[in-house]
Amino acid sequence: MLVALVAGVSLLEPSFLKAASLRTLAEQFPLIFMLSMGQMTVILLGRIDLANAAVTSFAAILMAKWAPDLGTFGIVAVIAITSGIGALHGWLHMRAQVASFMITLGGLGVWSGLALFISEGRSLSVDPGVASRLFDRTLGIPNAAIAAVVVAVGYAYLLANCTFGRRLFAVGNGQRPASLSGVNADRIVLIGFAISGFFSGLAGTVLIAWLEIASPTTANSLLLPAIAAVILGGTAITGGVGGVGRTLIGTLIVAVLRVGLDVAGVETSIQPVIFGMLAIVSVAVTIDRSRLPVIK
Amino acid sequence: MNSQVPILAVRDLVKEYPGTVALAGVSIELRVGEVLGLIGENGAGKSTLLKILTGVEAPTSGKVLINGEIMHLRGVRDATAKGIGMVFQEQSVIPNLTIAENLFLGREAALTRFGVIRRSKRRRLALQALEPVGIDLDPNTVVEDLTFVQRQLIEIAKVLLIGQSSGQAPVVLLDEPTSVLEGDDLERLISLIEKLRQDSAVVFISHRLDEVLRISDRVYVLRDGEVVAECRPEGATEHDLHLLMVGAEHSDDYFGIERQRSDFGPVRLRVTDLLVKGMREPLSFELRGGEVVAFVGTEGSGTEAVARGVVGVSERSSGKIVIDGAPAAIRRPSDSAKLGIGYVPSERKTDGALLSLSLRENLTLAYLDEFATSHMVSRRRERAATKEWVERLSVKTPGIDVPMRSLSGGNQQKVVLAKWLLSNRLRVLVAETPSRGLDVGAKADVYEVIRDAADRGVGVMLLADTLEEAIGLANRIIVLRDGRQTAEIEAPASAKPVPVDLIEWMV
Repeated sequence: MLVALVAGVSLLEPSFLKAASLRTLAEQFPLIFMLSMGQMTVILLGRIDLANAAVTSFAAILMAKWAPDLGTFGIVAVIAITSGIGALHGWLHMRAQVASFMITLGGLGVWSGLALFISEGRSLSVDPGVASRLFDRTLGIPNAAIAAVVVAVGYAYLLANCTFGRRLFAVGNGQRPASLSGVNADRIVLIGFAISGFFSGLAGTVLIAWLEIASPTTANSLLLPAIAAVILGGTAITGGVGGVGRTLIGTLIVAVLRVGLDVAGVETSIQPVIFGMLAIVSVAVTIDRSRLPVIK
Repeated sequence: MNSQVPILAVRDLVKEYPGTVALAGVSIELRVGEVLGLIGENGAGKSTLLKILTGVEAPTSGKVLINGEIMHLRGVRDATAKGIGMVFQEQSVIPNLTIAENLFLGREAALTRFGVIRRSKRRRLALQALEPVGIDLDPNTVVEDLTFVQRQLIEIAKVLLIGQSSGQAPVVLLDEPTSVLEGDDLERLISLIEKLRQDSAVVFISHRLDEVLRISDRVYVLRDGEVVAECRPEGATEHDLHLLMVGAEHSDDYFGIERQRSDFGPVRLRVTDLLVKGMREPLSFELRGGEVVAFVGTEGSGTEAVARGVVGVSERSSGKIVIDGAPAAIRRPSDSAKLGIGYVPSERKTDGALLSLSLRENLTLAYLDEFATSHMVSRRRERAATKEWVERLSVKTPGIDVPMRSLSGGNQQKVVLAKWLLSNRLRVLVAETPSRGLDVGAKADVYEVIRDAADRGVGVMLLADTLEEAIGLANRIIVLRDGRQTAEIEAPASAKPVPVDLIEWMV
């Protein structure tokens, strides 16, 4: 599908294969990829994190505020905070037994609101400090893209081999049998959301390094593309099936599509329509209805 | 009896599931005016037969004939429209609606004028429908406020009502209708069945053999997916039926009574004043190493509540649990697993096994830490242990990395048991109906696994599937009724009690 898409876009718009678009692709990709890896973690648990893009915006604003005084430490601190925000979502979800979409929809409001409040609604310029090296180039490729792939390989290895990864898949496949086999599902879900928050923080870092500006709403439009990337890659919305490799492919499809749409001259304002429909269609086509008693 | 062509007939019905044959060529006939008893142990194929008759499942091969015509039933609605109605064991009436609303649920169109339901007409028709089942209640009563038996009668009324529209005598399938009834309620239901017989055909499925003998005109006995006997109740005894149901295999040492231990280790589990939702009185008991203690009682007697209270699935309102002399704080199953309490849930498919994960992943999940060094799982160690346990329990599987769903029920259950047995940390095994739905051979294998666990010094808390199983496996039997302990009966290998000894405390 990815190959077909690249071929299709190149055919319609031969300029796509030019260096400039490929560079845009390599710059776009790490940001969406960080968000979709976080989202994938939560979707593997059969949950969803509607707040993860808003948390990224919030992180970018905090980094803009703190970077001048705290430098690199500020960035690390913000990533710790976003991980904590994710953990809070997970904790509330399990503790209050409220559906994850509701908790994180609330979170979406809270964190994007706070981002607006802290920034007073303005875009802040950032000196990304060390992080600016993320968009230096090695052999013409932005370091951020290389870093993203390294993080992905490491995360894929961890998910497949560490006890947490195995339990994550078990809970995603069946929370009840997993719990009855001694897996502490509450804890696994909480950590899963914390990882989503962690990746939101990384995405925030990528964002400020790339744009050198933090707007309280920049990342918000990436929620749907990131979800679409996870599902298109082949991670089941019902949980338990999927992985980093699939999400990588899904993200590439979405990134190619975004750049392709730009190259083809499709207006940015209409693009969310396309990603919204893409998210719906990809779920509709792939969902395994036999695993759900009722769809609601 | 009355008519020549049977109202309902099935011929050579076969139903295969991956790995198991649920029905292996069943033929049954039923005529109007007849009450047919259908009996068999769990896993004999009764529920599969019912699923086919109600159109929930399609047979692998074989025919279903109604009035001599071949039918392809496409669901409960389709089956009822053709005159086959089922009264479910777990009732299908909706509690927050009224009687009348329930009776006409989904068929309101017949009652409307200009799209608005005519309440007066519904009330009149509802009263008519309630008459044959002998309920004298206002149709506007909310079902929630009714007793269990009243709800059951409403289910029957609903089935009869829908049956009328099929234009033929209805076939009423009653699945365990008497399992929770006693005294007057029971008599009421039996007299209703007598009345139903006049212009319909009834299939009566029950574990209570005395009632089957009393009510039925003919009895079919199912075992391992086959009709092993068709008999008339005259001259037959409960004992005869029971022998037919369990088959000859049981007469020898099916439960491994020879291997039952009489020397126990120290107390492994001490439960004091346990109270969980579903129990009326606090319960205390002890379980020693190598001992098998069975908890028996009718549905809703609280045996499951006790087991789930111990492993932390259900919240305890009181109770102290001590394991090997040390007080245990168990709030959820992960706590009990850490303390060495293994749990085999009764619903293997939904609660016991992770069907999409591999055999290996299922086997190592409970004690995954034992296969890991600093949180990283060693595939090599996992594979070695999986191979070892597949061999020890003779799990039939093409490989250790196949998805769990591709195994047959018995082999799945062995894996569920093995995930606890593989750890030396296992001290207590809480097993809820571990042999349910398994064929005879697989049951025997499960019993053997339980004996092995006892030999290792594990204390086994068993919720048996049948009384025979409880008696056969246990050293001691605790009987519950209505959430209270009513008896504690010793069951040493040399002097096993008989079911009647337990039943008197159960009902």
